[in-house]
Amino acid sequence: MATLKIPTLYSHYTDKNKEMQLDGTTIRQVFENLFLLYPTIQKHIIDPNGKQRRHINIFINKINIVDLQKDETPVNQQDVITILPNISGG
Amino acid sequence: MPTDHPPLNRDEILRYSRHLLIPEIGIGGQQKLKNSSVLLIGTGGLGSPAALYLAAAGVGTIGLVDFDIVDESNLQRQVIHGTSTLNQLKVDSAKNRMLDLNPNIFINAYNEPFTSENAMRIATGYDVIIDGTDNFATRYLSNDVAVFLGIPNVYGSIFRFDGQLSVFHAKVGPCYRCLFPEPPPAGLVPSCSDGGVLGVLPGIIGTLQATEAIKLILGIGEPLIGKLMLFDALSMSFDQITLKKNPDCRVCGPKADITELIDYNEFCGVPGVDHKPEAFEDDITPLQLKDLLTNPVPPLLLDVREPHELAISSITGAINIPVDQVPYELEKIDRSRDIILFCKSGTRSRRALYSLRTAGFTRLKNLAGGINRWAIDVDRDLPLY
Ligand SMILES: [Zn+2]
Repeated sequence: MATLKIPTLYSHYTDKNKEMQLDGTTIRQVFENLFLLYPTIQKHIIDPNGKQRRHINIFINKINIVDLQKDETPVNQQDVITILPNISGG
Repeated sequence: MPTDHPPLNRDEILRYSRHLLIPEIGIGGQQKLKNSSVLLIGTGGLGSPAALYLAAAGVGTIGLVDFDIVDESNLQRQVIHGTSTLNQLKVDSAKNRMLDLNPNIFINAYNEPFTSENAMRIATGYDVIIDGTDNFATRYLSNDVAVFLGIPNVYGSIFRFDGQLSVFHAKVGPCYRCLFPEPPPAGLVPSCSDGGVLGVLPGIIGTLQATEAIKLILGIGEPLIGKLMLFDALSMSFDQITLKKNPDCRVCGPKADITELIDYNEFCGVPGVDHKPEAFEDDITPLQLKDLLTNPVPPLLLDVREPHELAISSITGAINIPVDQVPYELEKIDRSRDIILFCKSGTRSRRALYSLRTAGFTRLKNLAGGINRWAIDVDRDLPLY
């Protein structure tokens, strides 16, 4: 299982869970499993057309998935997936 | 902006002795700091520590851009200001504190919002920009200004317990737009004034921004270019991720189509901006609401704040459904009545109003200014927060 890190911005939708282990061999599968567990987070990650929202970046082991195979990027056991939202507080 | 930079005098050599003892800085480095200039956008949470440390370090010219005044709710984190400077202009309050800390520096105070109209005039001539703003529109503006001027933009942003830090420098690496081509849809991401922030968090991130600015000026170490640092205060973790230049970037890519400053409020769909409340047709004022509540059939009051906020202030008779739960709890809301939505300041309740309207509700009004405005205009026993 890979590790998924949830930013505080969205931990509201994951019962304050900020780090979790999820099954899945691709980024898409990992997020499908996340949405099964916590349905209300989905609209913050995915837009109404089913695409990753443009103010969200998803990284696997420090690399942006847009520079890999996007949501088909393979995921292995030890991988760490990070959600990076655009926040504006100062 | 001062153009002649006399060598460090006897007092300055004593003042900066702990710097002069570091081989990577020395007299030469300290003179570089004195000759340098940094523009700080915002003198709030991030700007406070950044400004203090840049001043103490002897950065010769520091520009401060802010149009706000010091408010009591700032002092939980904006440590450059104080109780004695409440209601003063933030730029004046900050400038006086910085000159007290170090009278050898020169400060340009710009008491104005940073906009497309004034940004190039203000920023031209500075070596480094530090982005310490609190809204998306000004962040995109700061980025684009830095790209057009070819200078680095030291980026920091915060929410509750999380911080982000990077150095965006399009000449040699990615820019803010490479990472975030678009802001979030208005209302989807709360600001600190809606969502809150741990007071020391901007202290940490703002201090790191000052560190990066000083490294850039001195040309030492590895600047955080092409990298972004993620800080989580709860787990006390610092993670770094790698950023690449985006070939499709609209401002720094090979096919860039943004070649001059644009209308950033329009770009960001402005209701998310903190300081510019807009009037909407379906707004209701606290005084109008007070009258309605005396009707034989008073409206339904829907409080969309989070449950822990009810302990701070509340309006009698209101039902509470947190904004993000509203779409899932429609059956709790009587659609045959007039419905008045409210939150702390009117932003979240507007979001809830739009989602109810989408669900077919028609008799909706939003309490302008939220319960804080109500506390000022109607119920003065309620605290502001
Ligand atoms: Zn770019």
